[in-house]
Amino acid sequence: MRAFLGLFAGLLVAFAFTGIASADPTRSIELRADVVDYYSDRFVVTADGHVRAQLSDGTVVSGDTFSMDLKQNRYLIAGGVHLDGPHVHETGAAFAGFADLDRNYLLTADPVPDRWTYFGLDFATPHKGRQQPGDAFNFADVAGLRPYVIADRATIFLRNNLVFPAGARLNQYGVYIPTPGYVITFSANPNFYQNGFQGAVFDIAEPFAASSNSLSAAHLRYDQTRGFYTAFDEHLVHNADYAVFSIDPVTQNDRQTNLILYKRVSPALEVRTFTQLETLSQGFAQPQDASAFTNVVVNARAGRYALSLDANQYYDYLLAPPPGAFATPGENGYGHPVDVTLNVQSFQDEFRLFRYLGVPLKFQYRGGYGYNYDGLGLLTTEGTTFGNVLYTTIWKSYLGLTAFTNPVHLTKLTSLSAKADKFEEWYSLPHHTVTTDVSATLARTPPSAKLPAFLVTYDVLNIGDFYGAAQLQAYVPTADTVTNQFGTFTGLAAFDGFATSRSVSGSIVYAPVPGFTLNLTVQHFDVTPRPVPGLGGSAPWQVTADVRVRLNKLVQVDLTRSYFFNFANMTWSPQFGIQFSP
Amino acid sequence: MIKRLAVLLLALAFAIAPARAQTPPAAPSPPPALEQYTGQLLDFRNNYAYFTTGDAFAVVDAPRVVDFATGVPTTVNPGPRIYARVTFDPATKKIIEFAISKTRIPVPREIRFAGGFAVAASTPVPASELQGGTALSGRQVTVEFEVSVPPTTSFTDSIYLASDYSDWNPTAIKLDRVDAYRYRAQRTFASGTKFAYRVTRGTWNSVERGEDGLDAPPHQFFVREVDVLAARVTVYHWSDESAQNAGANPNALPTPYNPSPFGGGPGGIRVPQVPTPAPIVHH
Repeated sequence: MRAFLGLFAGLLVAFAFTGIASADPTRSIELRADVVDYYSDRFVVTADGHVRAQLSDGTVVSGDTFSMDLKQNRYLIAGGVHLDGPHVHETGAAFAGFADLDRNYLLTADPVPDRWTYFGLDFATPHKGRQQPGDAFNFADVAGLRPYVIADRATIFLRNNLVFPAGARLNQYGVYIPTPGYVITFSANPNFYQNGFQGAVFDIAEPFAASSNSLSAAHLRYDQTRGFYTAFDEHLVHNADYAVFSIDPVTQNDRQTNLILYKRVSPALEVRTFTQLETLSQGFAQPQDASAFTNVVVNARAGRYALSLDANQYYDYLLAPPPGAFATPGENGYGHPVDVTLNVQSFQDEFRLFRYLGVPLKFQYRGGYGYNYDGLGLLTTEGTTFGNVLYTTIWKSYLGLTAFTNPVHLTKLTSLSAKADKFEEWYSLPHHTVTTDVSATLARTPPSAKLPAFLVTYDVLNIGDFYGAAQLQAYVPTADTVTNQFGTFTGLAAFDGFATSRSVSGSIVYAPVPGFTLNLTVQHFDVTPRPVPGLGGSAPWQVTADVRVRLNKLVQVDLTRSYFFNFANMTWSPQFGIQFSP
Repeated sequence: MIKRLAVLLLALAFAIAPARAQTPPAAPSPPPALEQYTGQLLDFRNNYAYFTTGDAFAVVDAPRVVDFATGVPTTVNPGPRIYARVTFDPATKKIIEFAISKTRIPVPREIRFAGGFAVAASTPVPASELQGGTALSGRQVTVEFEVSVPPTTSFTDSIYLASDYSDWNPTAIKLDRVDAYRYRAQRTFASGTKFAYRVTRGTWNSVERGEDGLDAPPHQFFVREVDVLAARVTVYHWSDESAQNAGANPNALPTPYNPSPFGGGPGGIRVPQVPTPAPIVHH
C-alpha cells in the first residue's frame, strides 16, 4: 500500500513539474491597452499605454508599449516590463517573444541589467547571458502609416488570426467605422480561404469571429441574377485538413447550404467531399422545392500513378413527388442519379531516345472506368430514351495519351514546342467518342522581361461522337438554313456529331519598365461547322488587350478589354475588366 | 679673473632667466573626448538606459535632457520608442546627456563610440540556434517568378499567384505567357521577407495540384540578401481538371450547335463545378 501511495505521489509530482516546464511557444496573446492599432500594410499590431499581454499559459507581460510583426511571428513589450506567471515574477526593460525560435528574451532591470533567455514558456529556468538576436528588441517600423483597425483589446492567435472585439473601428479612407467585431486572417495556411460560395461579381467579407483553428464571416455579395444578398461561411482548419460550411444567400428564399470536408489521411491519400442542399423556402418554413448534390473524391498516389475515385450523387427532387410523377417511363426529373469513375493517370515520363536526338519528348497516359445509374432513365441525345430503349445504367471506359516536347531552341531566343493529345471513350450505350488535339507553338522569349516576348500557336482540335449506323438517329439533321437578325446562314444540317476547330493564337508581352505590362492576344478560329451569330459559337476573330499599371507600392490596376470584329454585332466587350491588386 | 668670471656667469644667468620666463608652460593633457551613441530607447529606469540593440548603459543621477532639434532642455522623458543621442562621460562610462526626438535621429559618421560601456550582469554565452545566420538589411530584391503549366492548359487561361501577403487572393499576381508552357512575372520584396504562395487559374477551384494529383502545400520562399532571385515552379495538375478530360476539353469547342456530346449526352458524365456548382434547376 505504501509503495502504491509512494508511486502515486511520485506520479503527481512528475505531472506537476511537467506542467511547470512547458517548452512550447505561446499559442495566443490576449492583448489589452489604452490603444491597440493594426497596420494592414505591414501586418503589424501595436499597443500603447497600460499594455497587458496574457500568454496561453496564463503568464502576463505588462509594460508601456507593444509591437508585433504578425508575419515574422515576433513581438516586443517595452517600458516598465513586469513578467508575472505561476513560476515567475520579474521586472525588466523589455520582453521579446520569438515564437518561431521558441525563445523569449528579457532585459532585466533590477538590480543590474542583464540578458535572460527563456525556452518556450518555461519561465522557471532563465538562461542568463545567452546570446540574443541582434534585432530582438527592435520595434516594428510603422512610421508614416495609418492604422487600419483601432481598438483597445485584441486576441492574437499566432500564425493565423487577429481578433478584435465588438467596437473595434475600421479606418476606411479616414472614416472610422465601428464593427461588431473584426478578424484579420494572416495565416500562411490557404485553407482558411477555401471557398464555399458560387461566384459573385462582388463580395465584401466581414469576418467577425475566429480562433486559432476557425474563422466565421458574414458576406455582402452581388450578382446579376440575385442582386445584393448576404451570405455566411464558417471555416475550420487544422493543418492540411479543413471544413467549410456556408449558407448562400441567407436573406433570399432560394438558398444553398454547402459543406466541404477535406481530410489528408496520409501523405499519399486524401478525401474531399462537397455537399449542397438547395431549397426554396421562406425562412425555415417547409420548402416548396428542394434538391441536393454530393461529390466525393478520393485521391491517392500509387507508385508513379495518380489514382482518383470520383463519385457524384444527385438528389434532383427531395420533396414528395406530385401525383403521376413516375407515370411516364424515363421521367427523371425526380430521380436520384449516381455516377462513379475510377481514374488512373501516369506521372510525366520521357522517351529517352528523343533526348539524345535533341528533342526531349515527354508523355503521360490515363485511363478509367465509370458507371452511370438513374433508375428513371439516363439522358440521351434523343431525350430520356435512345432507340426506344430506356437506359438506367451505362458503363464507360476511356483511354488518353498526351505527348509533348519541351521547348526546342531554334536560336538563342526562339523555341518551338509541340503537343498532341488523343482521348477515346467507349460507352455501353453503343457509341464512342474521340477527341484529338494537336498544336505547335513558336515563341521568342528574351531573357529580360523588359524586352517583348512573342508567341504564336497553331492548334487543330477534332471531336467525333461515333454512333455507327445510328449516327443520324443520335444527331438528327436540323434545318439547313437559319435566318435571324444577323443574316442568313446555311449548312447547319451538315453537323452530325463531328466538328473541327483550327485556330491560330498569338500574343505579345511587353513590360519595358517596372510597373507597366502590356499583354496583347489575337485569336482566329476556323471552325467546322461554322459558328452562327445569334445562335452561338465564338467569334472567328478576337483581340484582347490587358494593361497592368502599378499606381503605387500597394495598388496595381489591371484593365482588360476584348474586341470581336462585329461578330453578332459585338465590337468591344461590354465592359472593362478592372481589378485592383497588391 | 675670478670676479670677471662671476660677473659673466651672473650676466649669463640674467640673460637666460627672461628667456626661460617667456617659454610657454607645458600644455596640460586635454580632458578625454565625450563619447556619443545614437539609437532608439526601450526604457529608462534605475539609472540605466536601455536601447533597442539590447544594450543597457548607466546614467548619472541627474542627466541633462534636451530636445535633439533645438538643443534646449525638454520636459519629455526618455522612454520607450523615443530616439536619443546620448553623451557619455568617458571617465565614469555613464550617460550625462540625452538629446531626444520622436523621429529617427540620423547617425553621423564622425560620432565616436568606442563601445564597451554596456552593462550586463552575466557573461555572454553563445546560442547555437543563432549561429550561421546572415544579416538582412531589408533591401529591395527583384524576384522573378516562372511557372511551367501542364501542356493541356488552354492558351487563353490566365495564370496567377496567390500568396499569404495578399490574403490568398487567387488573382493577386498575374503572370504572362512567354512560351508554350511557361508564364512569368516580376515583383520586388524586402530581403528577409518570407512568404508562401500557390499557383491558380483565378479561383480557389482551379488551383495547382501535385504530380500525384493530391492537394499540394504552398510553396515557401525566403528573400535572401542578393540582387535578383528566381522562383521556379512546375504545375502538373489543376484541381478542376479530372483525369477523364485532362486532354482537350470537348466542351471548349466553339461550335454553337454541337450538343455537347461528352457532357450530358448519351452516357455522358455530368461534370459539376465543384465546389460551387451552378444552381440546381428547380422544377
